[in-house]
Amino acid sequence: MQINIFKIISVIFLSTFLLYGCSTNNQELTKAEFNINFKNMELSPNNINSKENSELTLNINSDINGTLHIHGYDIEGNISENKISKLTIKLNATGSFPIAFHPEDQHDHNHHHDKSDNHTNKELIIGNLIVNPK
Amino acid sequence: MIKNIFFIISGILFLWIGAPANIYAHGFGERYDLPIPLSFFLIGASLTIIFSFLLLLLFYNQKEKTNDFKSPIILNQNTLNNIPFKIIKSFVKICSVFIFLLVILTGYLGSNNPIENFSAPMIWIVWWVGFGIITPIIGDFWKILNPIKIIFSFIVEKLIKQPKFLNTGLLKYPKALDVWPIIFSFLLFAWFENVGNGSSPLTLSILITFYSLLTITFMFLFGCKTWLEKGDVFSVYYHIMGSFGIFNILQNQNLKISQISLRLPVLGLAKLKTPTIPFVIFHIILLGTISFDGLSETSMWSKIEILLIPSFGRIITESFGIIIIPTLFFILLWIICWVISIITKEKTPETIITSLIFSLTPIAIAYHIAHYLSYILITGQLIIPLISDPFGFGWDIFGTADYSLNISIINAKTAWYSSIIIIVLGHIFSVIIAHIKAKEIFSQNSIVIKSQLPFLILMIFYTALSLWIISQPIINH
Repeated sequence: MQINIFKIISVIFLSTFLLYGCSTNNQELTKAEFNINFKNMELSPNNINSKENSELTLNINSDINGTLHIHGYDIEGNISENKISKLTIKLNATGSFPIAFHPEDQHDHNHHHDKSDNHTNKELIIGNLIVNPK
Repeated sequence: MIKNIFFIISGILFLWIGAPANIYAHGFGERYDLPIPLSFFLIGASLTIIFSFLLLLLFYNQKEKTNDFKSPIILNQNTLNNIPFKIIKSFVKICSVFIFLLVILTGYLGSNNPIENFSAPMIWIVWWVGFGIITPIIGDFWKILNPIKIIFSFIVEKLIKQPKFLNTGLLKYPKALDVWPIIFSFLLFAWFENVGNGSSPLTLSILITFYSLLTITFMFLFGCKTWLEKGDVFSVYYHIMGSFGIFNILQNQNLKISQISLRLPVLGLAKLKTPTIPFVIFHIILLGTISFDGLSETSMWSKIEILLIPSFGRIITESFGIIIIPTLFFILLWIICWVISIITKEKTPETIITSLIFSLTPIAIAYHIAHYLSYILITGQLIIPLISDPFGFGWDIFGTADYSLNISIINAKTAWYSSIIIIVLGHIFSVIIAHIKAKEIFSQNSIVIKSQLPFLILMIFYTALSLWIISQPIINH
């Protein structure tokens, strides 16, 4: 039997494109809600799992005033002591996005958004928003 | 003497950056990748094993060489001497030198925040990661783009009118030095990338200036050609990576491009000349640091750091990682080649290791591409606003200064499929190269097949390691 390695490789490349075809996604937007607690500087649960192409509303019950900032999406929302604060995000990108907390006074003075979420000011990473593909 | 100079320089450099204040390593700009799920890992691992044995079976039944592909020449010397091509070549060279000078200037004069300065994203993301991904696909275009080489050629040809320095230097390159300058400079580079303060624009500019002056000095001492082949780490690195690509670029005596031809992908690797043992060491360090780059972002490495940092400190612990992974790779490779030597009873472990070393390169390249695909697509966008404001002064030259990263540019599922396909393809290419190289040193097909079994185990292990790394959640430091 005589082989042609390059024909085999061509078949593999062709399969590559076929597999890509299988990985397309449904673009319909679904709604989801998630209750989280931020007490004693700890987020519970600290990993929020969600699906791509959904509109996620976080109901945050906090014991401190400040700002929650979701890296990557670069979205932030104020949270208030002993109140349920809402933060709504359209999840159009998959990945694991760190959730940071900025205390009220520090945030006002130090925080500025840069283009890559590489914050030089002190912030507390309290969890991750994990957006899985559909 | 020259070795001593290298040690002195290394000592000074390490003392200078001994306690970096603000560490990003090259990983500035967060990564949001999701690890590949278990099912993808298992599919990838299964495909690796299936293809390995399928190829071995095909090789076993192979009666004669089937590679009769003739490289079509797409650009020859005459075409390249045409005026339009001369203009294109000059334009490309000017652009390369302009970007090089801009990187240095922005580092010295601009903001020292890596993401507000053109230099760090250009060097670490666009050049090291991005160009490192493109080179194995297209070929060694660094030969054309290398700005230090362009500047040196300009100095010796146009300014001092001594073009002999392109080929010969003031001194003969010492044989004992072999490729040790490359080993030394690559270790230093890997250290800055993974441990040191390499993302600080000012540090980067100082290092690039220092490296450029040193390179030009050595080019005068030993000749540009010799230094690019034996002493300049990036030329050697891109030469190896580029041998994987589809364009084969040939140079004439004066280091001018004389011909560009098409070739089958990967096969250029099999045509690289058999290296010396120091070159094998360099290559192992290269493969090891590529793996360590990903390994250092896993929770396993994070646990090791938590264990070791209180006793040894962060710098020593991470430096240990850069050394230990290539060392383990080298020991493992040596054991496998020693086993092959015993089984085949034809060649020494040294001959086997030097012949087969390049067959591990496709796995490393595939891993590099798979690991950085989403990083280059997402974090690579950092360069868009910086084109308008390279110094971080608040300019908006091209109207892109306010550009925000599009984090949905690549879906996790697409990244997973791509990663698995790329890594399995890399493994297949490695098996093919190993077979071609084994055929060159062993006398009979049956011995070639015998020699492949232990090496196949090593390749499966290396591929599985790559798959395992991308199946781990990334820990952002």
